Amino acid sequence: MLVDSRQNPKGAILVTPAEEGTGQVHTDPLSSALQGIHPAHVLEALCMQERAFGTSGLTPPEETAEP
Amino acid sequence: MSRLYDIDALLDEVITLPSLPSTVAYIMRLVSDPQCSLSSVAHAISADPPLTIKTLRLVNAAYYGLRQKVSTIEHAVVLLGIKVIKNLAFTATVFDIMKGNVDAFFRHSIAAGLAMRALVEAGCGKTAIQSPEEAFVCGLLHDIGKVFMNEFLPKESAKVAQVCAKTGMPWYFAEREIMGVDHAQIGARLAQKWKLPDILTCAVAGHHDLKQCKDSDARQAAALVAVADFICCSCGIRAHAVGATPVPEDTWTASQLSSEAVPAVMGGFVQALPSVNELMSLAA
Repeated sequence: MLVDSRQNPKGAILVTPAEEGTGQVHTDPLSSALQGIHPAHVLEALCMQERAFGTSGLTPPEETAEP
Repeated sequence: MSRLYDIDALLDEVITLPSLPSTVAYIMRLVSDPQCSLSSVAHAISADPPLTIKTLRLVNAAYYGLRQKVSTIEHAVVLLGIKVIKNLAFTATVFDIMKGNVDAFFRHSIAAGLAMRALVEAGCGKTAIQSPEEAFVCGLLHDIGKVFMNEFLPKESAKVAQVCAKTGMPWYFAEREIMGVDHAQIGARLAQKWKLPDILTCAVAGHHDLKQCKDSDARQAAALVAVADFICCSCGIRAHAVGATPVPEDTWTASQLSSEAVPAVMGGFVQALPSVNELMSLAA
């Protein structure tokens, strides 16, 4: 999954292989592929989007201490 | 070597849980009576000037979105209703307990309240949780047991932090390993002592262990608290500088949160985020 600004028309994008072995991929906006994704992953993607690109003052991902 | 307690020994010998202030306890009893009148609740709060001031400060917070300034409890009760005012008076009391703790803990607790509110406003847990205000209180209270562990068992709590930072072990699990008891158990006992509604007690007791919940509504409330906690941690609003506690699959199932509902939940949560600082400042 690739996360981008909400101003980008596609926002967060789900990247899936088009055909095995071809190296080609499909890209779909996260919003159009929600059914097949676990809610945890949707939440993580949207949280990451807000932290990286949002205006609500959340700590950017790289500044948060990880164990 | 730390001693491993059981919950009763810990509360008998080490931790003294505070009583709910008498005015707030009286208001909770009043509101539990369906015949309770607006004026009786307003009168009960007004009889306690410090509580009146704290409640009015919350009522006038931008978070509640009232267009006019409210200067009397009577006016607030008419505008917001008895149950909202009861939750505000209760929130003011919990803020008093939490405000002495580190900012990160307080911030996480308020944010978890806002995440719970966003979940319920997006349609999750409507049968389990009565209102967005009750949802806020569930989230606000979920880690309150940590306040007493930090106060009465500071060395053991510091060791929990060390172990979690070093190993990535979930916080509640390290508490059980080091002290024999976790913060959810302590918080649940506080909720029982304060005679809070069962759904609140279960939400606190079960947010790391759904087996503590006696029915499906309680399991859903506890599961939603775990999800609210996960949202906050994924947004970097953590009580401790350790990673997010993983949410087990049975908890996701019990929460009944669908992937399709997540964007609305996140939208509500992000919109409410500026309120965290405002609510923290009101407790100061």
